[in-house]
Amino acid sequence: MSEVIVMPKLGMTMTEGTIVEWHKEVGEPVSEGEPVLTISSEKLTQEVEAPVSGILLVKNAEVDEQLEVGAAIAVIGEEGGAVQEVAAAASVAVVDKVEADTAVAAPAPVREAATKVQGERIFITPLARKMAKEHQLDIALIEGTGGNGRITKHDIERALQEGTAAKAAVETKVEAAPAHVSVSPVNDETIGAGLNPMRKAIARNMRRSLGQTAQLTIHRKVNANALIDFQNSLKKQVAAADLDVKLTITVLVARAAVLALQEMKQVNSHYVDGMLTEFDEVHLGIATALDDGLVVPVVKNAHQKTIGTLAKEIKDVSVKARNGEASGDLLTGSTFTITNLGASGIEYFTPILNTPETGILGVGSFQDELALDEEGQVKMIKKIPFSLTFDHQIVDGATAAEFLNKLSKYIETPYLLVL
Amino acid sequence: MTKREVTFMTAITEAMAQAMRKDETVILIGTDVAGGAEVDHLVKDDGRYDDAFGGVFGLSKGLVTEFGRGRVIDTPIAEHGYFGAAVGAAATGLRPISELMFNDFIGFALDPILNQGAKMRYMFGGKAKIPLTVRTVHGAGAGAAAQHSQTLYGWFGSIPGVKVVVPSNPYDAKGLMLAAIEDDNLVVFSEDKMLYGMKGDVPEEYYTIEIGKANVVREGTDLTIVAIGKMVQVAQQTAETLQKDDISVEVIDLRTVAPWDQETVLNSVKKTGRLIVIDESNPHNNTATDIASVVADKAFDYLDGPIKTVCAPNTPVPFAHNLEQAYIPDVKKVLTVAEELIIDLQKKAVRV
Repeated sequence: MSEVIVMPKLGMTMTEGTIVEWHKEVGEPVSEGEPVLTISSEKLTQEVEAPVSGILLVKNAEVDEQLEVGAAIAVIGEEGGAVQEVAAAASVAVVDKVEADTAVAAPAPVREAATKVQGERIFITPLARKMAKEHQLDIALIEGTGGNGRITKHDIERALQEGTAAKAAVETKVEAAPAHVSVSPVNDETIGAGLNPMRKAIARNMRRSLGQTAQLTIHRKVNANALIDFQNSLKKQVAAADLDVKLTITVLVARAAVLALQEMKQVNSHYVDGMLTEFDEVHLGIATALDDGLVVPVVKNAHQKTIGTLAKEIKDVSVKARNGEASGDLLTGSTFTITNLGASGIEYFTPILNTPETGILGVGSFQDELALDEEGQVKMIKKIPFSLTFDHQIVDGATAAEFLNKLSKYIETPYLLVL
Repeated sequence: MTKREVTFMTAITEAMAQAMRKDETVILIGTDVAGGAEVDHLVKDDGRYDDAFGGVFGLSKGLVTEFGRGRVIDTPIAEHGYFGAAVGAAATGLRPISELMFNDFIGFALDPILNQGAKMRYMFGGKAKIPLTVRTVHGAGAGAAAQHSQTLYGWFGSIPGVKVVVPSNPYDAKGLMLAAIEDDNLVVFSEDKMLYGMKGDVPEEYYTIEIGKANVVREGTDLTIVAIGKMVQVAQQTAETLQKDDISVEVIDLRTVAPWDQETVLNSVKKTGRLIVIDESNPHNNTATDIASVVADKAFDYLDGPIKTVCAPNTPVPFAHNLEQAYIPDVKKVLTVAEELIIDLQKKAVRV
């Protein structure tokens, strides 16, 4: 018996991985759980462990070589074992929908070839599929109004009429055929060419986000005096109680955002492959800058967490992300993202959506302003600037403004945050 | 051509009579087709015998009077025997019409049809022909219970070498019957007993309708409904209902179940992109499933929705009137499956 090690899928968006280093040579014995090689993908580097003990029989790729998720990387088996099986396995590229958390070094079963499924399946009639292909439409952008949500001829005709279905499929790989060159503004094959895996992943994600959504950013400044007072008073009490909690503004804004999101589920949603899903639970992405890039670790179930727990977990995930320790699981599944450039002195900016999310909140640095108090006296107040980018396909300006209103309510009356 | 209104049953009787007048090799054979044995009270003054009822439905009434017992032959209830005789007669120069009283009795008549009638031309290297017409009766709705109400034309249709026609109206019944008799191959002519009283325009003259050609009885652009026999009425009513909602339905009367008219059906589906087939057979391995499979194969790229079949359920035909009515495909059932196909047309809501 031999076991095939396949390229694991470390995150929802991972499509290929790069071999960074082999820890074992062909013919060398390995024991179960021992690292066989290191791969890197998009945002992280990961050791791939041996699923069983045995001899490393085949290496299917050299260092720096890129393989699709599910492709056979290596085979471990008994000495002199099943070379044919090995060869067969190695030549089969497999896309296996292994969940990220179980994917690492899991000996995914090698199935017969496969279609590339990204996210949910799109239902489309054969006629509509043919028409979409002829007109180079991206079916992910077309709403299906037929039975079972199918895209029909009618939907294609409407898309052609309205011209909404962005010419040339973003996801569709255009195979060779120079006579049939796609005018695609976003061609996955070439984006990020020549960059390292992380930059390449960022490039793809950003281009995909801008290519597939209708992004609009609105801004609002909110009086943060109460929030700052609340933070200071809470800090003192936390210190007095000798608790290990670091209460940053990011934490408080995160808590406020979570509460606002629960009131405004439209903004806490995914829109992917023609399917809109609004979530009850909030998995909060925290954009984290690295020396050479950017990752978005996720605090799962943020809506169930108190300020204290949130503070601890935001810190945990950020540290892990910075140290490159984040597993695939930690980097996927967010329903809404917060990105804070406050420390860099930025006031407003236009964050790019972390697709398939439909909203991302940018936080700027405090702005000093003069204002009149109740007695008519001039006083200085601090305001916190927010930039909310949303997908105008799903969310309208009024809804987005409503979300910022609710957020402001929590910022201006911060004691609500402990509820 | 002179037109007048006659019933479906009369149209068939007339076709048989005209065929027998035209060609003296045409004979009718079956249980009770003359209507009683040569009993004394049926002897007329001129010494000829009057016929009694003329078949279980009275469909062949009058034929024995005109053509005599030599050409209208009553048999015992022994289908295997007289179907064997009919196949033999066909192979040796006659052009018999052999009646299977209810298609439910197919088991008794099957071997002469399946292994002799359908095979001889092939096995004898084309040197024999079997110009046999098998008349039989199918369909639920008469309260005739599970053993006299089935719809089995699809069984015959699955035999290579057998043609099967299923008329939906009096005009087609006459023209298809005459075509069946003229055909040099074994043709099963399956009549829905619920159509016997249906009236329609039928020319008095002799005419035939081409076997193997379907009839587009209503043109449309949004949805194709293929229907067989009695179900053509259901298709037309469905089309009228959907027309009120601006859905344009093309209705195809299949007329011939085997070999069914692929060209007409495929061309229609290529135009509309949507197909419903109505067939009163039980739902599996029937004509509807065959049509669905061929269309899925040959018109795949034209389909704008799943192919739907509306058939009887997978049960015997119930005897209780209400259950029997529920068994038969009707407009409501067709509209229910149609809704999934036309929901995207964003016209008015379907009335179910």
